[in-house]
Amino acid sequence: MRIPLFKKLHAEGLVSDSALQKTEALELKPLLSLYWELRLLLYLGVLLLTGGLGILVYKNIDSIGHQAVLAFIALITAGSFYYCLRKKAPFSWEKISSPDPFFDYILLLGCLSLLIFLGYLQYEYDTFGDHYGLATFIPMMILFIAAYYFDHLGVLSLAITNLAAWAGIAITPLSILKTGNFADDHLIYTGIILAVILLLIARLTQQRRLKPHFETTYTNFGMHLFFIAALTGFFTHDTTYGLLWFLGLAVFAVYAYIQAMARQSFYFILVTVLYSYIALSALVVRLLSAVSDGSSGMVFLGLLYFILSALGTAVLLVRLNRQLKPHDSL
Amino acid sequence: MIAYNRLYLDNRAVQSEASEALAKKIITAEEHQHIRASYPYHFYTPNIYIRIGLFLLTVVILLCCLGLFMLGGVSSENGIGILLIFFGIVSYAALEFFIYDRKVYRSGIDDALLWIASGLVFGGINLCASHINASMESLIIFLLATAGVLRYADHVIALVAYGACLSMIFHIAIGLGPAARAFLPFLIMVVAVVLYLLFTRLSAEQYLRNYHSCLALLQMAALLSFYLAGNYYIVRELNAYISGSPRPVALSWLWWLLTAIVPIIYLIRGIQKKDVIFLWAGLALIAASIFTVRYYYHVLPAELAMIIGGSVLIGGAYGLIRYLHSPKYGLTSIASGDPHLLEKLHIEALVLAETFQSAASRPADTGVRFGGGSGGGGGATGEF
Repeated sequence: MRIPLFKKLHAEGLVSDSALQKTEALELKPLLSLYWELRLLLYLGVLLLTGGLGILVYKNIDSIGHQAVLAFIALITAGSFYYCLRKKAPFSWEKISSPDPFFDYILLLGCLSLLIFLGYLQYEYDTFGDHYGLATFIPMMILFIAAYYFDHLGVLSLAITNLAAWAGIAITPLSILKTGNFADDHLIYTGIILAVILLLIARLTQQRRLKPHFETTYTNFGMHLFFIAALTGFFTHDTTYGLLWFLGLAVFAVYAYIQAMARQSFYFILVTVLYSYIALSALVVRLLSAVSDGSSGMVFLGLLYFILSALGTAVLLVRLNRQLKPHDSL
Repeated sequence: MIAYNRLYLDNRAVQSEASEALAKKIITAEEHQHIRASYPYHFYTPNIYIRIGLFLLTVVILLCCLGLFMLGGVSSENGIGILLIFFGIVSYAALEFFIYDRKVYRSGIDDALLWIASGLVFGGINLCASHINASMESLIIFLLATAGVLRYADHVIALVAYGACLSMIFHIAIGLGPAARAFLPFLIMVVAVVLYLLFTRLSAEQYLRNYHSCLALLQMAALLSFYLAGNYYIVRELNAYISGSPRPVALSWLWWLLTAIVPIIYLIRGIQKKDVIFLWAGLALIAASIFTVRYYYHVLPAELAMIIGGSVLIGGAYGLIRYLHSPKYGLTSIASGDPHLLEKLHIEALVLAETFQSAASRPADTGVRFGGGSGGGGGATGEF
């Protein structure tokens, strides 16, 4: 199919002779690239192996074989990290491409098995005692160090998830100012604080050029976290206090919008627009149900609102898309 | 037949071929620019994220419009059914308008309109004719989806049409009595083979070029359904469902044989013919076969199976990536758009090219790009 096309293009003077010949040579000796297939298998293998190890440990706790299991996991961890340390390129604050196709996966294997190992230690030998904060803090630190040292975005995501877990456990009990009634609010505030910290780190990452390609991951986590936390705050409070959350979300949405436009990102534009739309719609629905007298008039108004607002949002998306299009990497 | 501007579709295909050729360094950036200028198209096809957003918003708009009409006070089942059909037709009209006037193509708007229109018409017919049986329902879905594929070349609708076709055959065969039931797996397998051959034949046709990606998906669906028709678990469960009593099925050796062999045949054929469709079907179905065996025979506890399977996968993939680093049998483990690969492999092509036109401007190598793969995965977004 390609050769006729290239012959036509060649006849029209659009491609050179060499291009036509290269195409013909390619079509004569087709080469199937298994790049993604093999990588997918490798990734699945890592997930299966670590998942299996996790279950094995969980089931064998308190049984005779658990030390053998522990040793096996330690062996995998040590082997993986040994491989990574031996193969890795010299450290740099810029992006480093992995030295070979397996590096990323073996590092992932090492990190996941390390997490299982530490979890097992904590459960079986109570290594960190009752310091649950410490029990999540140490793996988190190791993950962050591994992510930066070996330059691995997947491990960075793991580390950030761990950070959230650690913050969920470690920060909340500290905010004793609030009592039982607002138990949920602890989590919301934790979320907001964590989101702001993540966004600040993203900023620093970019400005100081400390692994600048990590910035997107931080911003992504930070933005979702902030929006979700603020939405939760808005949804769980019917009072004016809830409205404050709405205002906070609105202010943040403006900030997020400016950021997304500055970085020319369709993804962040969409995230900002959709979260804002959800918040706005929730506000309208709340207002309508507040003044509702039970007749279908309010339902009518509500539906009308959704039609018009969705239309408006769609037009907005199309406009924004057009604005960004010249910069789209086509 | 197809609603979208055909000239644009063709030019779009040319441009995407050109982009691929550019990525493979077959043509220069300048040639690429010329091709793009000579084969323009003016579809509105936004970025995937905008497409998702537009899809969601279009769904909201349509459902709320429908809600407004519902408020009008239609209460009888027939009335609602007619309203749904009417609204579905209006959606089709809107779809045609957007395609014709706004030149939308895979924009989220046309996707949403097509799905909602088909869904509403089907729902409306179902409500109006309250007692239609499953094979009739399948037939309606099949007709609606086929029309959708022919006019809009939508990928997922194509799969729906295929599924509805099989479901129709299944339900008709059940109704024909025990003899037909016994032959059901064979019937489905024969249908799958015939349709696979048909799809393969059709995808070679030049005048069907706009449906190539649909046909590729349909080929995949045919391969999968051939396997599923002979899979031990499926045969057994469907037999139990039809007859209402769970018991071992006849010819179980045959089903086990098919379960074991079909994926391997697919895999081998995929490698032989360099056919990605067979290859992917084979890989996915090997996993399905393993699950089938494990469902009936608990050979190993799950975690041990996972550990062994994971190790085998890692080892196998490691070995293959290593082994295929320099291509063998037309297979390679290096990404296809890679300049490195081209240079290594098609030296003869380059030599040819150089002899014929020494002035052929070869763009500077942008450096080796293989390896990498960001590892992906890694967790939830909002865990707090």
